[in-house]
Amino acid sequence: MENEYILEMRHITKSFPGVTALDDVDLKLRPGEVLALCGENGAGKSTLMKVLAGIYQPDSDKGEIYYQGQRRIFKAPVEAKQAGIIMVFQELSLVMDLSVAENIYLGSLPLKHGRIDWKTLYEDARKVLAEIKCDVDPKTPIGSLPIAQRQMVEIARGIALGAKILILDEPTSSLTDKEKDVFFENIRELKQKGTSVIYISHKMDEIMEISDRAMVLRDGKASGDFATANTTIDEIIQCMIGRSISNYYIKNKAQPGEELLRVEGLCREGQYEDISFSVRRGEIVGLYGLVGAGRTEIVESLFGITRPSRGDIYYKGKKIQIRNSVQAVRHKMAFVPENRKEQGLVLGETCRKNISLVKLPWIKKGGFVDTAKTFEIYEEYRHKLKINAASSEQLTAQLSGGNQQKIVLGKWLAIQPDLLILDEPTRGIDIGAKADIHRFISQLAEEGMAVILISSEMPEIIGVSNRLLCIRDGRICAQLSGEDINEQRIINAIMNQPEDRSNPAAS
Amino acid sequence: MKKVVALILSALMILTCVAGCASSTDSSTPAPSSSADQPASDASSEAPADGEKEVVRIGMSANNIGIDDYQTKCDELLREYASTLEGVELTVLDAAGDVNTQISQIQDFIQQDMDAIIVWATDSVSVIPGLQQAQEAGVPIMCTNNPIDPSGEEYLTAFVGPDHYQEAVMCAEMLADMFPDGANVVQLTGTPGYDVSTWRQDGFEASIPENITILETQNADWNREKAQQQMEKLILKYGDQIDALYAADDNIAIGAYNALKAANMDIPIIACAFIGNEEGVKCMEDGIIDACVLQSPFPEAPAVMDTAVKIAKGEEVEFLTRYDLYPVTSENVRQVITDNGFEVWK
Amino acid sequence: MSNLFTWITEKFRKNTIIPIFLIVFLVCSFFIDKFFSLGNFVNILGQNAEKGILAAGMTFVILNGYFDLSVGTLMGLTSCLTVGLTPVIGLIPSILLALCLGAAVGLINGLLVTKLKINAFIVTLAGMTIFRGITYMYTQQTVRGSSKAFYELSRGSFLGLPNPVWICLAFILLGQAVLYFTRHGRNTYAAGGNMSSAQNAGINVDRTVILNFVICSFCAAVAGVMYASKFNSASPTLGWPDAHMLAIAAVVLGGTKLSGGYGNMFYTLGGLCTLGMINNAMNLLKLSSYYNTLVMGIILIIVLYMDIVLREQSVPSKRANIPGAPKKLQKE
Repeated sequence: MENEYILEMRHITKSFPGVTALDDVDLKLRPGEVLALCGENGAGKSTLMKVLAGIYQPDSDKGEIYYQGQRRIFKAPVEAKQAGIIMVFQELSLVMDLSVAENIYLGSLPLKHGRIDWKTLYEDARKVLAEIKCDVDPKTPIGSLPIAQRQMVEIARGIALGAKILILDEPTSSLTDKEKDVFFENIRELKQKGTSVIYISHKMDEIMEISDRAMVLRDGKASGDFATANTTIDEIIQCMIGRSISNYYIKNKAQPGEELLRVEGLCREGQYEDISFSVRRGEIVGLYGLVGAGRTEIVESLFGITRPSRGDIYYKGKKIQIRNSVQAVRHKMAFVPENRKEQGLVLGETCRKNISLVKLPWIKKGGFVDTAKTFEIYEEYRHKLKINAASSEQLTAQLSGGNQQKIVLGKWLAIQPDLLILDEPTRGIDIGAKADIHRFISQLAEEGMAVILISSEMPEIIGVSNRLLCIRDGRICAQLSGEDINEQRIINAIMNQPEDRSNPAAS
Repeated sequence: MKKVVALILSALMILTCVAGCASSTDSSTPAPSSSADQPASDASSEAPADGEKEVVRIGMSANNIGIDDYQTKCDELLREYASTLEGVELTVLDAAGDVNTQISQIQDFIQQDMDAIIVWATDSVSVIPGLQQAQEAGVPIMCTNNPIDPSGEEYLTAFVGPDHYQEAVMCAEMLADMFPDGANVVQLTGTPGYDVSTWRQDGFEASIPENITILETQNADWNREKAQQQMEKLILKYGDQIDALYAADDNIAIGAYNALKAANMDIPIIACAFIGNEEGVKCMEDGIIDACVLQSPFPEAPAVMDTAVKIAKGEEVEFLTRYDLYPVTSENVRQVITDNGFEVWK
Repeated sequence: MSNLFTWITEKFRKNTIIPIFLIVFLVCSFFIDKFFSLGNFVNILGQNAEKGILAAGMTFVILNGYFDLSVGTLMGLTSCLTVGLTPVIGLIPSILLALCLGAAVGLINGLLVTKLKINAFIVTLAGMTIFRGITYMYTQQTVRGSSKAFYELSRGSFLGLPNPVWICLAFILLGQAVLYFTRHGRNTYAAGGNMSSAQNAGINVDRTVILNFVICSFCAAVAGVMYASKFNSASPTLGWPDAHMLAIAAVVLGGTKLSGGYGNMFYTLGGLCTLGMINNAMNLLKLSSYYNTLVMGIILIIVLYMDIVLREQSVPSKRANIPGAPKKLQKE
């Protein structure tokens, strides 16, 4: 029976203990269609896809999946895989020590006479890689490739397995713009061949660029379905969060006060050189640059995680040496790291314990931790940052990205720092939480805190910073402030290379 | 660059380890060039390095030198004695109680063209293949102290050691003398599976008269603390029924004595072998141990070395050399020791 | 010429056991009298054949991301059973029984680890003490061998190498073939490298783990049988207290990652031979066996440190400039 839809999910409901992740959700997908799935974190996008991919099963009775016209039940990922529904995970699920080819055909290596047929494996891998224009030797161990190429391999895997429906979860988070263009080309080609793509992303501009339809989930329920060509970003966002955000970024109106931090001639071999700048109270200084430019390295030296080989740091007027993070904390510095899961949280512990972690030395009572105080801290920042957790005892591992980041932020704010360093604080966070965090940072600056903000998102850094340092190859290539903080100036600064022949417009 | 440095560093470290260790042993540092340039050679065709005086090279694989005072002292005396002999070079390796290690050591001795090998067997049966290999390679091999299973005797050139079985028999006789009307005794043995323990147990059990009953036997692993624990359990179980204790060695005896003292029991203790050290002598004189058989390391060293040198030179020896055992009691212990020219050692 | 040099250094960097082996070999050959001779080398191989089989089995489990501490005492148990039961049920049935016991133990280990999710460390640690207990219940003394033919098996040699060495080599080659050419082998790498990835890719990880534990314990049983042949007897103390440590050390020294997913049989062979040479060197230098463990420990630390240093160079760290990417801004 010819059906216009290759996939129909009807009345899907999925609950976990204490929470209903999906509530009577319908999803339709045509062959060769790119469907964007949008929603705040915790809205249920991942859950819905995991149900489709066979990792979860929908709650019994209700909820049916019709695939290629037939009612299907996928009890395990293998079954969905065999049917042609392939999910490419956000946390890259590759085996680092194995070769590219083996990763592409993981679990389904070709056999000949009962032995692994390596020749065929590499040939097939080469073919698939060529299809997505990925220039990588299939024999290389995947661990030695940069993240972008690893992502391509994940996609190659989907293709190699003959995916009819490819589910991509935030696939461009680690890709440069150039790579993203190639990636979208590949998606278009997949469309031509009749493969459908479900594309989960927070990046509105990408959604507008590549998708045919956009479906929105809010709080586990289907909230809207748009043909991309006929809608606007704002409309989609409104559907996602139930309110309009005209200004994502609120610039703080603070008057910068006295100088808090001054850095002169900071150098660290192989990482950064000749770094000099200052930060005043009530000021947000942005550090913009490409991945690998050296921004995190600079702030790591400020915070004592690494030590500069040369240069001076002046803090509150005095020259200081920060040998480790413990000293930094004593100086009332705070550092919200880039990777919240690995560097910012103890995932196996409760929200309350995480959020009171840095403050522990100050909340002792008779040699023991004052537990009552930890509850207080949690309550205070839950309220201030609008942290959405089931309770103070919930494990941080179970929170959404946005809430996790808020816990990390709360943890540092609890010590009332004078200097707050934020490294990519809103990466991978939904719009609502992003706005919350930006608003809060501005508020902190208005209250007199000095803030250093690292970001790779131009709109964010333009919107929030009072002053901006552009970092390229470990050096400051421009210091901008006020009106000068705009896209053109930033691009010019970053692109300004003496040997740059291809762009005559560069100054 | 980093990796080259790392490689050089590790090479240097290994070198220093090796060189440092090499310099602390008896052997002279060999000339590097000769061994490196030599192509693969047959094991048996190497001529002695020095031309004039032929040195008799003897290798010894000891059971477990550090495990108790007796073995440590034997090792010390052996080396002392060997150093007094002219033209004899003794190499001692410690098998740390492991049969595999011991056989490897025997193989390595064969490889190094030793003139004779002494083995203090870690296991009387499992070491036999090693003995066989030595014999087939033409290297005379002898054993000391721990007896070898009869099936392996054909490979041995000599055996020098105390007769543990006989020691046990002597103890049984002394016990019978103490209790002509019979008694109930408890027995504490050494490590199970170690043949010395087995001999000392079997010899005792076979030689006690009918009117002496063994209430219970427990193993004390040659260890003082374990002996004390086992004795405590036995006291709990049998209480006053126990008339005497037979301990496989003086260490065990002392441990058991502590338990008895704590329970306010004063019964005679007979220790099968007593090694003649200061602590042991004092114990005997204080009456802690009432009777035992003296097995001093002092006669052992010369007996072993002399036999070894003889077989290395290819001379005829008696196959079995037992050195003498002396039953002693509290009164005559010091006398017996000094009479026979041994020392009471620490 | 410089191409050859880079090729060699690349190989050295990726396979750290090669330079390690060479360094130890050269140092020993140059500085230790009587090391460099065919007889000595044959000796070394012969002394390590049984340990090699133990290490070969251990390689499978380590590649899968676990380790097995019970192989030593299991080896002792099977050794005693082989020798002890020969007069009762015959030589071949005893050997078969011992081997089946090994496989069964592996099955139990695997099930406990996968189905009951008990930590492998605890399961195998318990196994280690349990087998020792069972062994001592069976016999407290050395069991005498009764089959001359069985004894002669280990004394025979072929082409100058003792038979046990050939058996060990066979296991190593067979093991490598399984690792490289069979689905199970590749699944082992996948499961050890990233268990969730493997699971999501449809690999039956539980089955893979169980099979590897079976292989490991089976190899331990084989080693036990071989020791029974070598000593023409079996002592209940065989394999206690730390036979498993040597096996693990050989595997890790060879370059197989303890966390799993990387390594192979040849690495283990290299590690085994290196440790064998060091052991031999200690003997030739007349060092007490206690120095042996000390030096081995030091070398292990050096090696693992070198591994980190060299590995860091081949996998670019997250922060490094992405090779080949143009340095200018990607946006046009």
